[in-house]
Amino acid sequence: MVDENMIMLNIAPSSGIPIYKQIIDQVKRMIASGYLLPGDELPSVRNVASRFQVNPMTISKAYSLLEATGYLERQRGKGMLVSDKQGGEKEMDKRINILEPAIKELITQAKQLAIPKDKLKIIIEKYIEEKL
Amino acid sequence: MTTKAISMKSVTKKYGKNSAIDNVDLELDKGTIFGLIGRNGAGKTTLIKCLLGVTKPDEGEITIFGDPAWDLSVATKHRIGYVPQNIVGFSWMKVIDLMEYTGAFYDNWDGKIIDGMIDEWGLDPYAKIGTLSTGERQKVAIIQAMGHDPDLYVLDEPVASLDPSARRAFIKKIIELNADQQKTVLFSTHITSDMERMAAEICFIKNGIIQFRRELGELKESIVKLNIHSPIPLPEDLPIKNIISIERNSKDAIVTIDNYDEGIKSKIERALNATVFVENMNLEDIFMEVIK
Repeated sequence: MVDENMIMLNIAPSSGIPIYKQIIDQVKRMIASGYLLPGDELPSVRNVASRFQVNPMTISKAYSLLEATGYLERQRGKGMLVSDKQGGEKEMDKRINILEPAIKELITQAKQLAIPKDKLKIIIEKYIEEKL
Repeated sequence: MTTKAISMKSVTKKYGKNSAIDNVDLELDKGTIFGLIGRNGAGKTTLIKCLLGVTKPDEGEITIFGDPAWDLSVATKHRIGYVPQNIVGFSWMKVIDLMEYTGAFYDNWDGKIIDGMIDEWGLDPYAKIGTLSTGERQKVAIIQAMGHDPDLYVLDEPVASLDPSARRAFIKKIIELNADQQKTVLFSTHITSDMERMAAEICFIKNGIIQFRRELGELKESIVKLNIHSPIPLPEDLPIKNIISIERNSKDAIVTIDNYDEGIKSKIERALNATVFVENMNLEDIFMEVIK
């Protein structure tokens, strides 16, 4: 990823979601969608920090956690690259994992609105057929 | 060589019978940006003044770069850039003359940094300090603290009078100084959105006592609001630990807790047969809960 693509990051410092987590979620999504490809370079910690005016350690933390979970690789002299070891059969699981918080949120809200499980399943199915 | 930029141990400062700061412990690693947050009168300025050796604490030990704060060597003093909350004096001086006057105190004064910043921040170098607005005067004070290229910046409400775009320019500058040159920054503010950008770690100070010290991301993950709704009346004692605040009627409760983890939600739901909705809180929300 070249630096102008940083625009794709959307950091909201005053959100209740920690900044490092926002970055992790967004980078994961960009990798899952193919917007970021294996071998693509992420902008440097310094450049992200300066561009979005957020603490550099926060960006480092996000990158390190993405490295620890295998999404990124640190390459000497080059910075952070999208790992080429992802893909294959695990690809789908990863994408499902990313969707999980949204699914949980949906279920919570359905509970609050007292919508029965069966009804919820029917609604979701209907939307999948109609909208996609 | 110490790795600590700042170390305060059991520091107390009293004015009459009242403790302005009470038994404060605070250590800061080199190369970090640390935020001090609290209401007006909470003790932020007293803490900073003790730290800089401007005010003598009644008890405790303070060192800056390993050097005792009350007896700072000239060499250590020259490694500190301080921006006070209230900028007073020198009203007859022109901006450029004030910079020259300040520079005379330092061996390593760099006029180029100053000229660059004056230009970047749109100040008139030939304007008299007395004719400047509060915001412009604050800019002057910040620039004045940069000329000797300090390793530690101590900033007491540095941006309170700046307009939003000047505040963002200031934050960007501090972040670049930290990223490029590993400068250490301690700043106090009550503007939580600035803190959320700048600080890696923060602490709350209330009535002179340090309440929480935590990494900002961790803080937002551990302090959350639980909205609990139950079809039947909730018990008097809720099976919830680490409660910070609670508002309730018979069937609903809004509970702010610390040390949240993902298992807690379902545990409470099972124990109370209730629905729990977890709400993340930003720093301002957390500040309101912690400080009240």
